[in-house]
Amino acid sequence: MGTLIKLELRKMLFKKRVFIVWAGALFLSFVSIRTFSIEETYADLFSKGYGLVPLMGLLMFMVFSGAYTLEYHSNMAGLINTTKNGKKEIVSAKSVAAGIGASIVNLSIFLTVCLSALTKYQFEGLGLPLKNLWYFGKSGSSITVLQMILMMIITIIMGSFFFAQLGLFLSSISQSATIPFIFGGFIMGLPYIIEGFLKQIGLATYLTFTPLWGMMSCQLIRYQASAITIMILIGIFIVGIVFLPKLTYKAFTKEK
Amino acid sequence: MNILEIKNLTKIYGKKNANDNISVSLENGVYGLLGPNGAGKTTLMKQITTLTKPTKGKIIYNGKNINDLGNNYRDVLGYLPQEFGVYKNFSAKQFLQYVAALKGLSGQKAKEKIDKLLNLVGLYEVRNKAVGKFSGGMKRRVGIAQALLNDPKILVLDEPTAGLDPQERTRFRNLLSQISKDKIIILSTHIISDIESIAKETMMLKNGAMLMKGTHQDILSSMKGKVYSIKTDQENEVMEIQNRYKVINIQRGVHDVTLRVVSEKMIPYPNSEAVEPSFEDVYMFYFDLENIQEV
Repeated sequence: MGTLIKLELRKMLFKKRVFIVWAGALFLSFVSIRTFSIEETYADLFSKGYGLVPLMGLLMFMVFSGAYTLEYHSNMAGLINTTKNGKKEIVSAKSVAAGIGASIVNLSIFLTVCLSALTKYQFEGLGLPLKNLWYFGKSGSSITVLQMILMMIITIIMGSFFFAQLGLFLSSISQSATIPFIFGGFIMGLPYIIEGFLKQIGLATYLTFTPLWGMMSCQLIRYQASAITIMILIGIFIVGIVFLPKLTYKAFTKEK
Repeated sequence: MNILEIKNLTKIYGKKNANDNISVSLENGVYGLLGPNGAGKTTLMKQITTLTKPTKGKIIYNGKNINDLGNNYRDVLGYLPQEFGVYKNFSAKQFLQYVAALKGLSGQKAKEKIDKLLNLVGLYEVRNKAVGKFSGGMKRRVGIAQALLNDPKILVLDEPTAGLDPQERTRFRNLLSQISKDKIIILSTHIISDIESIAKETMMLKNGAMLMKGTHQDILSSMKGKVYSIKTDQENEVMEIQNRYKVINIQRGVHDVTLRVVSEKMIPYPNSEAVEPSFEDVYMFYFDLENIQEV
């Protein structure tokens, strides 16, 4: 299984186009943080961290949109399904590899933003409460900057695994990588797109139930998500991570 | 001894019988699978490799239904699909590591087997080169190596020599002959000389059904007295023969033309004589001739 995961990861990540977009995303992540006061810069960290979500989505779905369509087009699906472990392990290996791949991509972007912000103040002020930052102004949260960063690292990993399973499922039922890329990107990015509109009509808090905001948990704090919302989100993540691979398995091993 | 029994196998897609009541028993050795496009060869191979289930009938391996055997059957199966696109960003070695893991081989055992097979197919020196940069023939050799990774007892090869140069083809034939002693090898190809030189028996499919199965001798003897060679220097006679008979080959010499013709009846031309049939004649006789080969 370890060999399969390692080689699946290589198959998904080691592509020239992925490296080019990734390098560009990391550059943008670093330069997007500017030097203001410490509070302003740290608020900027979370604002830009969330603001870079489209780049995360672009990269993630570039990584795993073709995961199954490649197998279908290259006729490897047939070969895989005639092997002893093919039916049993390939879906699990792809799920883990895509989750790890997405986590690496998303964390690299978020941590570059963090690094850019924190190095401007030599890692000082990590204990600042979020309520001092304009981005979290109305939340009144006493969580510190460091705690929020650590929390986001965990939720970004969880969200990455969730979106990886979604992308893989869409890939397994598609003949072209474009479909999972567009649909997956749309499902992921919808809360980002409609946030402004919902904010105007006072319904933005409903977005706290979405996987994107669950992944970018600074949004949950900003909009004061309740404990029940967080429990529901954890439930959505678990259901997605457990059941989407089962549907993917059905689609991949279905007689074609 | 391995025994693969195909019993009354029928596969229906919509209203079409892709395989129609095929029954055959196979033991260790190389079996050629011949038939024109659409004859049902790929469907038969897909059922043997468990990629698709029969509509009716069953396949028995050593006394057990292959669908019941599941992964135990797949453990002894090697398969090379016809169109086979290896991952471009993998090296040959990584690709074989990947398939080895799929086949349940790991660690030192996998490493040794991969090195051995890379040597066998002549790719050891380029094992770390990206497969995307390989020629068609080299990719095919990677495909052959992956099919042999688990030392299969049933090896299904769909057009394995397509894209190989004559030297590579000869090497591949020798390899198959070497390993066929303890396994059932099903070789589907349009290259009749491959089947002629290595298959112990040939199965011919037409319209999804088994047209005939037998040794080369059995098959060729059925054609005895049906193949003729006609020599003529009259161009209008060439046209006439082409219109009246199934012409397999037209060889133009300096002064005359020699035609190879298959016919159930005696050919009424003065310079005609019955000749020994070849496998190509058999193929052309049973499967409608679409393109005349002119030399």
